[in-house]
Amino acid sequence: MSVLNGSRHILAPVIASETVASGYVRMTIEAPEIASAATPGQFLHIRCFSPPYFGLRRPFSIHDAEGDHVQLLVRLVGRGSVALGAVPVGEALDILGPLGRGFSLMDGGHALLVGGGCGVAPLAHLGRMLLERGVEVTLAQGARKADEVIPFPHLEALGLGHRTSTDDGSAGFSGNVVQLAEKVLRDLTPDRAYACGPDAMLRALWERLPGGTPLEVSVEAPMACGVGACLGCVRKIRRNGTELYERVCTCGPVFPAEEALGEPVEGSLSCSPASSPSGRGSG
Amino acid sequence: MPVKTVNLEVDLAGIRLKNPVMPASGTFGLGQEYAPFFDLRRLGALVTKSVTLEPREGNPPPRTCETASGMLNSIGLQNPGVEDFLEENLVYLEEIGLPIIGSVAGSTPEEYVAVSRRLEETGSFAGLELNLSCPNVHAGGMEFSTEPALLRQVTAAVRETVSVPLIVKLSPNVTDIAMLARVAVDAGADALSLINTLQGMAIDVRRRRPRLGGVTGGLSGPAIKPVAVRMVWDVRRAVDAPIIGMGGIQNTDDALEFILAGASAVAVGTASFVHPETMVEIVDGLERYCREQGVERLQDLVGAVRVDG
Repeated sequence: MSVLNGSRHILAPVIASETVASGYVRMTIEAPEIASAATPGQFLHIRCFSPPYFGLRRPFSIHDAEGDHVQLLVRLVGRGSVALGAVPVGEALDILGPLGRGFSLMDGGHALLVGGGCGVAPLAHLGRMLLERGVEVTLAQGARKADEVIPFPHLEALGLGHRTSTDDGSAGFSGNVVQLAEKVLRDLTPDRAYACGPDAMLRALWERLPGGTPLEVSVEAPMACGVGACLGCVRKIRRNGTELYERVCTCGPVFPAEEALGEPVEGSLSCSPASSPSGRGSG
Repeated sequence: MPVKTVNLEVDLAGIRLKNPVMPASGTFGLGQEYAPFFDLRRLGALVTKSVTLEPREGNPPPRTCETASGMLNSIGLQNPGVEDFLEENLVYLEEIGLPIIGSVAGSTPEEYVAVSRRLEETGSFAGLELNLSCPNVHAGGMEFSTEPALLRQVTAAVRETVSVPLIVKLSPNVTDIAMLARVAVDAGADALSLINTLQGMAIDVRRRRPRLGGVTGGLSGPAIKPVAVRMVWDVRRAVDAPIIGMGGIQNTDDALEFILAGASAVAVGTASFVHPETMVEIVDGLERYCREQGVERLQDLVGAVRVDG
């Protein structure tokens, strides 16, 4: 089994680039081969520097993929993302993808999507796919302040329930996104939940979901090769009572919460007894 | 004056390769990960990730970080152990149709011997490469290949056990690599590969912590090329054994530097992460260079750098 089926190395032109929030650029790329192969939660490994300058590729979640187009939501945070965000319309991006294991989809029912900061990126693709499958989707998005909230008018037009939180209270709910999610959960019992953001946010969310709610999380890891060859991006995963290092680029970036988030916690889905923290990795 | 046909073949101490380009151990998995991007059979050989006797979990993440013109890695030799490695991969390796060089690692000389013997037993490996940049458990964690007596002991012990061509991979973290090359060849190495990574470290000054979970790691990429080329040059003048040169190769010109310095073959590691087709582009580039320069056999260029005076 190869999660690389459908992965390619392509040069694809940027056809649109807009600042959608403070420090965020949304880029639209013409890449029909990637758009048709991509599933929500997968990522693209993108070259941000050209010869003679050396730099590793950077992984970016697919923000959306429809028709001939793929979209990225780039948060301008380091030299790679800043270089990428500056690529003008008409120039080509050097892309490996789509890569990784994405989210499990569902048909019907209600899904809660929770994203912290740029963690909201893959949730837009997921949200649209779920809406198209007749799922009722609520997206809780957390930002630091009002001008960093990512707007999703097109998803709202499709029926997305979109709730936002800001740390400083300048827009939407005042507080962090987990506190917002808690509030949402008072009126809503989701059949499944999906989240993307920092580990602390994912753990806090997991603790607050009603027990037994399946939660899938998309995690981050620094990557070198991005395709599973170098073993550089591993994360400690708990599976079948043991712990092992799994490659985030091929076995992730999406994992069931109980695999990726460590010790079982109150209210979370767990059917294995607490296991010892040191397990034998099986490569 | 250009020539019509170019011979890229190389005989690495008994391992016959159709061209001198191969992946650096640990950077290429077993090739399956890169199969979507180019035809693996265009390579001269496959070099596997190092295997140890028992499974190794590897180091805690983060295991990689970018540096200026390079990267640090502290993977920590994560591997399933030789038995599981063979069970999972032998069929694939036998079917791939390329010479396979098996990379061997360990904490003790006995471990190197046991793994080497087991790999040779399968009959599927054209040669073995000893990864000696591993800390020796019994010698206070010193890398085998940095200490002449340890290097001699491991090489001789494996040499006594196997008859396939034996390549010793040398660490650059030494004062006198030519001396260590002589030790390895005297102890029975058929060929040498160099360089492995340079020891390095990076610190996140905001968090005031090392960037690597393993604290220190190995530096690779373009930054190390001049170090590697110089070491190939020194080793070439010290021993007759063929050399596989590596360290920061990104393109044909880089590969030619190593060849002119004295390498009969080259390996590519970090560059594949950025540009998966690097190795096949180098194979094509070497052919083109030779054709345009009137060189009929690439091996005629080995060590051909002109140094006057």
